Amino acid sequence: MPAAADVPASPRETAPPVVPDGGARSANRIALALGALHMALRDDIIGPLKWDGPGAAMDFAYWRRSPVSCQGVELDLPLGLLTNRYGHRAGALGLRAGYAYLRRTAWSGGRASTFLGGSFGRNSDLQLYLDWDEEHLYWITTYDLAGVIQHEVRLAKGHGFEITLAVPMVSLVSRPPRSRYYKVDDFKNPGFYLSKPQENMSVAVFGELLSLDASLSYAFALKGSWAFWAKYGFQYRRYPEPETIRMSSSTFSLRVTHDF
Amino acid sequence: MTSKTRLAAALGLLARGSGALLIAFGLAGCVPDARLKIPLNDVPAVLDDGWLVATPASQGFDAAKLKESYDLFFSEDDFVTARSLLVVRNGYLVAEGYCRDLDDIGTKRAIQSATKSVTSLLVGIAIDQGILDSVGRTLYSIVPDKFGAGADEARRAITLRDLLTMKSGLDFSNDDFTLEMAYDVRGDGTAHILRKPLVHEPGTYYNYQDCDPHLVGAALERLAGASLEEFAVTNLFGKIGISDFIWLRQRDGTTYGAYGLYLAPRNLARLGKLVVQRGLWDGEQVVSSAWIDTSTAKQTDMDPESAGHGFDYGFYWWRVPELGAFTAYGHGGQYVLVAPAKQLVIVMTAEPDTNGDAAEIGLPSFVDLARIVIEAAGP
Repeated sequence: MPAAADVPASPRETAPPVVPDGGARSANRIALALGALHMALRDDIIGPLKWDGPGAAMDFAYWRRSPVSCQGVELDLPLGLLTNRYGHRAGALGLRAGYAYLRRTAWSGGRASTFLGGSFGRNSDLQLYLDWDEEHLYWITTYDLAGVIQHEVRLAKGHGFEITLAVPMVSLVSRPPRSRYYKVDDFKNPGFYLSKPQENMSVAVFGELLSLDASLSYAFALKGSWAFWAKYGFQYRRYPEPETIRMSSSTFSLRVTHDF
Repeated sequence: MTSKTRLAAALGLLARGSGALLIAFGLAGCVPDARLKIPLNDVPAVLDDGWLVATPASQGFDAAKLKESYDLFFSEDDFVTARSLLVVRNGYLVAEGYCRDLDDIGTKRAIQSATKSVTSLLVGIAIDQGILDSVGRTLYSIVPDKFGAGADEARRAITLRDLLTMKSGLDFSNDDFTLEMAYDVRGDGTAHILRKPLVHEPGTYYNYQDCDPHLVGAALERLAGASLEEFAVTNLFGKIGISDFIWLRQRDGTTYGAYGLYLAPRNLARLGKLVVQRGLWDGEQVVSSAWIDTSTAKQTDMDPESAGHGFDYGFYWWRVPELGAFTAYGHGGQYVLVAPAKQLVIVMTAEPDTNGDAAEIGLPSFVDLARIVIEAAGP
């Protein structure tokens, strides 16, 4: 999800506060993160088995902050290697991109700030089940309009915590048909993997698509305008059509940011 | 505070928080695992579909022993990709179980290479009707236009017998065949196959390849003046009550002779019933008994691995001498085993697409299950 978690710091301070003290000036931030994750999913189109396993994630972000708001874009690329209890293998590939806009609320003050806003993002999770002479593609792709709340606490100069929660309210959802896909492709046409998960979009409101994206981050400033973040993120999605899919991922990532 | 001391403080904080992180990673548990199979069911439903249903005991089975096979079939740890198991004896459906979904009783699924055995039956029907004189006829004599102008003599010497025993000598790996024929070949698929290198003299080297039965299908279509599917409807399916099926065709319209047939389990059992009755169905000789005998007799040795398990090969039927039986066999675990001496047919279907060959219900595993059923059938 387009985590609105990245809070710009002033580039003019030699030891900038990672969590700002009120957003007195505007700033830009770019971020690069690498993380390890654990992913689990069960797609009842395929069967009632849980598939889970480790993976990795890479995340790029750009954020801009003014005294009263922040907005940014983020691209998240998770990759997982999954197995079920019988040792059958699958690969999972995510493509999550989004834009978020947050406003600083009146509840902010002192060491704490609370932001409220919204985001629009594309969250596509592909699963590839490798068979004897082909692969089968399954997916859940959503275009989400989500509500976002973010709370920051500045512990000391250059240290801080940040908690973010995003919940989609209205979404467009694409899922494969109920039947198993048969010899869909042979990795010969990369465009297939972009176009197929966009088919048969249907509208889902909160409750039909049950989804949340939460994160807890700890940040501290490095030298100059650089900062280091440790972040735990949790994502859950559940959608009942045409058969129920449930998926979750827990990601622990390390992020470096640069302000300018 | 220096960067180093900040980093040390951060790592200390992370260490203290590691317990919380472990709990957080445990949130993956909110995706529950579940049983793969449904509760055991093995009593055939009485439907208005032409099948006569009987109890196992009435057909000479040791019912308790037969149930052992279903206990195994419904196990969570064995036959993981299985879907259905049917037992037919003396023409009666005596046991029928669906381990994944009761709706499978009416669901067509790919029977994969078990399709080849249907192609074999159609060859027999073509001989019975006189449109094919013998399996010794060369393919070139049937479809000369599919051979290029420069086709060598050896290639022109490929006979239907060679094709029915997987000995064409052509080099077209099954690793490539399915996708190449489905996606890459834009023109004449039969001609495309016949342009492949001839790496062995025809009739000399067994190599299990889908291209051989595809050529048989193409030959039958030319001889019959109809698609293989149409020929099957008129002369086979229509006579034994199979009306609900799909049979895929290659882009050029040629029905796949090697695979591509989708059938529900009970219709698969009709094919077994026809064969165990040596081609006779409701008083009509649909396929000659001579062809049933010939096509299910040993026609060739197999590759060393299959031969090592004690199998040999007829005309697209896998033979299991140990059980006095032969079987159609499709990838994933699609079987129609026929034990003539016991008037017994065992049908198994499974997920047609398996997650790696390790997940396939291979012939040795199926034979282990079939052995229990055959032992339950008594002497």
